[in-house]
Amino acid sequence: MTISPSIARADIFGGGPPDSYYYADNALHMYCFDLNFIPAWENPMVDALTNLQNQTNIIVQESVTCSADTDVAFLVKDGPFWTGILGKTTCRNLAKQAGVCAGSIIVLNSDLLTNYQMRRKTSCHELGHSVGLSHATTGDDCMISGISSLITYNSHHISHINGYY
Amino acid sequence: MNRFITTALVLGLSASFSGCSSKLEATAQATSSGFVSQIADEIIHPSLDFQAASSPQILADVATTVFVGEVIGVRGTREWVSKSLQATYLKTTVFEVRVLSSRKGDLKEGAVVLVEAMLSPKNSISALESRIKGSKVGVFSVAAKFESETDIFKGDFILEPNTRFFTTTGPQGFVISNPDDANLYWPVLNDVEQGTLADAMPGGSVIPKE
Repeated sequence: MTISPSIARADIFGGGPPDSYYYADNALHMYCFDLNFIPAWENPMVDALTNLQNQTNIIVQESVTCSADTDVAFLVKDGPFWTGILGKTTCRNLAKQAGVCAGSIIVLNSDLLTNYQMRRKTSCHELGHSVGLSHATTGDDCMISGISSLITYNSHHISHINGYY
Repeated sequence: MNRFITTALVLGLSASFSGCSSKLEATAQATSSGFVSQIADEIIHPSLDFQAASSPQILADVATTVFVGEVIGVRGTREWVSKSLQATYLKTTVFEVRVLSSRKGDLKEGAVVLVEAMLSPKNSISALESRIKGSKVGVFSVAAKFESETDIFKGDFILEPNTRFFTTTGPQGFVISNPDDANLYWPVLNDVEQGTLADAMPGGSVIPKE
């Protein structure tokens, strides 16, 4: 059994599915909140955005309105259909350049993310996807799947981001 | 149902105790069969992040309908459009499935229903259909054609009046059993093939066999 290629593939940065997530179109990451946004969610989301800015070359800035060109639109959903899903990142607006997304939607599950820590971790995770990060295979980074207390990016992922933006 | 629960528990515990090595073996088995890769060629990875669902029993408890069926066709897709954002945030695929064995709910063996699953065809519906037709699937559903007031739903398929429609419980609610009987969660195929499924769902990489 050979597993090395699988491990290598697990950390491809950017370029879009099926191998990875899309690059953002530039280092300025505009964000907005859905009109039905629940105010109590703002702190963990903004804290995760601030962390992305502090740890990397990405600059975050709030957009008053949500448009297809807004880099990240946060949406909070609940209901039985989302059983087992903490969060989801979808590219709503593919850029002309292959493998680049000009606008993503981040859906967070309000049924499962019941406290600040969980919302902060999942916001960190989905924001990572929105700039091209894949899932982490080591337990020192918020890009690991599932529930954890990790709310920052490791040096490997920071290198990916800063090497591109 | 009791047999189902018992089998689920046994397999769930088995997966938990056997740990990572069994997952890698399952990965190798799935990869070597080629079947998973072939199906994966026809879907868009859903980019989802999973709760640590530790066993199929969790899904069975949440679901109102659980059955094993055979895919007999792909009917189309459905878009979930946020009214407030005026944007599609989810695209699902609607499968036509014949019930082989009902485990929970009122479905009868032989009934043909539509099942909405959280995955998207990468190339075309017909290409996906040619790959998946005849496959055995486990279906966990919580709602008949789930809809919400905050969304607009757009479907490109026809739902006949007498045909029942089941929305599955997220990404783990539509489970495909491959010919090698690896019983992999679907559609987390990339995670399975990359060996990262253990991180996403500890002990959760198998579903109950019949």
